Amino acid sequence: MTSLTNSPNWMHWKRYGFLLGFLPLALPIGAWYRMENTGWEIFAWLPLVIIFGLVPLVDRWMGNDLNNPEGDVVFSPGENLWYSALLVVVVPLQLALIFWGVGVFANGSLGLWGSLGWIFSMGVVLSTVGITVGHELVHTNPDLSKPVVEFFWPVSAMEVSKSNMYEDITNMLRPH
Amino acid sequence: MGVSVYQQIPQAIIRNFQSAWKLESERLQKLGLPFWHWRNELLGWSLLSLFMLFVITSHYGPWGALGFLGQSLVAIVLLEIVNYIEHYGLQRKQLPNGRYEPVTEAHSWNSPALLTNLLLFQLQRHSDHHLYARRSYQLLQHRENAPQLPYGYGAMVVLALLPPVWFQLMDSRVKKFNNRFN
Repeated sequence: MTSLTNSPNWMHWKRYGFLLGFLPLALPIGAWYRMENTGWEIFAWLPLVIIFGLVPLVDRWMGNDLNNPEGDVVFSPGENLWYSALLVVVVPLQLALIFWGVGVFANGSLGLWGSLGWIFSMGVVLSTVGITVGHELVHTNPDLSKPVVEFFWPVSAMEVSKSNMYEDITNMLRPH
Repeated sequence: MGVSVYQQIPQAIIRNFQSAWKLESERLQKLGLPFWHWRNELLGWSLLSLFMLFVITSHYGPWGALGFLGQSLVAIVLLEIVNYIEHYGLQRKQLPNGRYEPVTEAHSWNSPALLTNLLLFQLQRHSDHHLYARRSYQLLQHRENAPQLPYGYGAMVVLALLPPVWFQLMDSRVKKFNNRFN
């Protein structure tokens, strides 16, 4: 697969590769669908198996991406809009997933192990997306995007993440 | 180095929580504003957190609240695990004047794993973020000079949860990297 990242068109394909950033959000929905169809609660753990098991395996198979865009100005404004849009679209999806996911837990149809798996899966997925997108938005735009970032963090994570970001930002935006 | 994820994380959560409030109070003080003010962002976001908890509880009942708090706790812990992985064993040196050396790519682990980087909007190029804090994710660079994680974040989280395996895997890498720079 290294041939993929070595190809001259890689940066072009990579643009669409970032659509994979939505995949974590789809995992709980897939898990829920499997549970509904099979009646097996064990599928509540499926997102964890994928994130911590399957993804590392596929990583081994797909290899590394060592490519760098050249300098700071390789993308046109239109292209940059695409990249920003991906992040912004995640926000309402994340919020919707929070409310929906809590509902699946709260309606009482899951047993103990199913419930545990569901909570862990949801927490991991929300965190994965939250860390990534929150971190990114705050880095690129500390002022404007803060409200957006905060809003879709899993709630209690807010203060904690906040402090992390503050630490990050105060450390890094210092002139050096 | 030598600190496990289980030792670090409870402390980190408490410390970050405290430092967030401290930093925000200091920021307000500089602006000449009191702590209880609408410009206090932490207060605002805490209120919003409570509001979300309220909406969920009123909609789904106490089990909803439990689920919400539960998944939030899992999310916080994972955030701290990732933070642990990103910076494990790497410290900024204290300069003669008492300040710490500037943050560079040498203070964060980099991971080039392709799939995980696409899944995480290149979060694993965190070393470059250290150098260029405002660079958008599509422009982040793979940093060959940064310390390199052996696997992507997903695998590293699992390994971090197994401290003996983690130390075995990482401590030699930390030492090797620090020797190279000192």
